[in-house]
Amino acid sequence: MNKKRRSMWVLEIIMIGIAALFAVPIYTLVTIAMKTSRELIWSPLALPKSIYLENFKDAWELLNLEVVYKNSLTVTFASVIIRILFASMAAFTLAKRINKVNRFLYVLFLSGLMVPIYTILVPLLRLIKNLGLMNSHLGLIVVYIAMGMPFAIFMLTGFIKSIPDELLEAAVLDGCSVYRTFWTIVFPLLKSAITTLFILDFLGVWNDFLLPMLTLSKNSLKTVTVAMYNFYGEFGTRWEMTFAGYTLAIIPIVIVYLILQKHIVEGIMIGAVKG
Amino acid sequence: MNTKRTWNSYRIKRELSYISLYIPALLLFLLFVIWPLLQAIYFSLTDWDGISASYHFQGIKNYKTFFRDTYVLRSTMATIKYTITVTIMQNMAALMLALALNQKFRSRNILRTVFFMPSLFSSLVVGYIWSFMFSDPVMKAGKALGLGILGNNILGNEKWAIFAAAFVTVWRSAGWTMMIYLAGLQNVPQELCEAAAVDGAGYWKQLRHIMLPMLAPAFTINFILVFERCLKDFDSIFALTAGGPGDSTTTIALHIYRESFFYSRGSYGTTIGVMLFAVMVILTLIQLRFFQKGEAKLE
Repeated sequence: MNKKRRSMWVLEIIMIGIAALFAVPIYTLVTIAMKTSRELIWSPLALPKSIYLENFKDAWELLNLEVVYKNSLTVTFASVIIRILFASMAAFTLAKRINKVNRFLYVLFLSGLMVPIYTILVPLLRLIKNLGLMNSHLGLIVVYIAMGMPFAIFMLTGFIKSIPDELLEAAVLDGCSVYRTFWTIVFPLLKSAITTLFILDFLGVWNDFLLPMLTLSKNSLKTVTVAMYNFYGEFGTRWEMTFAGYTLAIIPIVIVYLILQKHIVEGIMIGAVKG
Repeated sequence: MNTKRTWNSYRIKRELSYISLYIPALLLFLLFVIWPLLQAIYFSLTDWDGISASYHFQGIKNYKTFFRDTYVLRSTMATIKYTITVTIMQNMAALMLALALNQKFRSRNILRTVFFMPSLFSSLVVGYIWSFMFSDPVMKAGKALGLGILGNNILGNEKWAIFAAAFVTVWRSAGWTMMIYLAGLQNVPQELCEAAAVDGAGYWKQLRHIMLPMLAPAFTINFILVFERCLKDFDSIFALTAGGPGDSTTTIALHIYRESFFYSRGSYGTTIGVMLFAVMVILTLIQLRFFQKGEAKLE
């Protein structure tokens, strides 16, 4: 037993060492963001001499972060919430009203999982342009809703299938309409699935870069990733300030993680089953 | 008669309600995924530049070019190097982390969080952070240790930059994969390991004969997930090297982006995209076969 305890100690110390090494880039990110440019040149990896927050202030103002956060939040919340709502509605029919048409539609939706964004990029941008949705959040939102639909429907259909038919039949006998059955019985039962989906989708949309880069050129509309891209292009070598910007870009995600930690881990498992 | 008619209209009403529930999802999906996909296939048969109003049908010319294009060959090679490196390294790293952090010691939850955290960050930002790491701290450490490759900025090295990009991806996403392995390890019955321990089996024996076989499904899932994600990676390589030096880190995704938006060859970029789609379809079919076989075995 003693031997086992000792080897556990050794393992723990080794793992803490590896974790420390692993976290060096994060440490670098945060400490450089708190250094003056002179301090950065002389001692990039040392702890900052004092907590210097000017970089954060500069980055906040230059990035116009208040607007940028608002843009990202709008696009992310709108697309994720509407996507989940539409997907769960569709999943209800696809899971509980099984006939030839619906089986075909289910396969059609799932086939969307195989379509890489790069395949449809050029025609998609043309479509967005033709619809007058360039430089608008609405354009991004509808595309995100559509692109995430296959996975959302796949996951939610699986969940709804596991709801016993008797429950729904009882509702029908009580004279419940299809809509009421969905809203009052099915939707509440999807709570855990929806939380999971919400987190995965939130991360995906918040961190997405290519689409907003190609569709948003107006400064007032930029999302976080596009703002970071332009920031790097403009001030790339002023590491202390860009790093303050990156830190500020990452913070919201870390907060979301800390709040929803438990669900995220669950979500990864369910997301993985997609396979 | 009357009741029959009410019954019928009731049924039709229910059916219409059911249909109306999937209409919004279906319309958006058809308009923004299926329609562009069909158009992509059509555009790949034209000479469209991606911007101008006019284009001409030219049959399979783009596909003929595709199979003789050395740039496509090179970007395919870069993609293969990147994908295989990440898939293997990430799974190995994640599996080892999961095994270690499955042991019961006090700091394991904090350590799990540390390793997991980067997979939440945007790949673009991670790319920018590492472009600094490679240009300064890593370079200094490389010089101090006398490692030639790292002594200069590795991102400027035509041969090694793609592996540096792969390393950054592993750093970012290993924690995610680790979580899936940890979940798999939770399914290993504790009694089985204890029984084996009583019979004198040490940790390595338990690992080989009990834990690893039970992790097989997690391994399959992780392998496929990481592989497919790598084929579609764009952001972090774009941030690290933008495809350079030369075009040594131009993967298929970056190549499509370049052809479509820099060289104004929209139809050709789309052709490469259609081929990438074909690869995804083939991979999916293989997966389906594989999983069906696996299920058959279970029965």
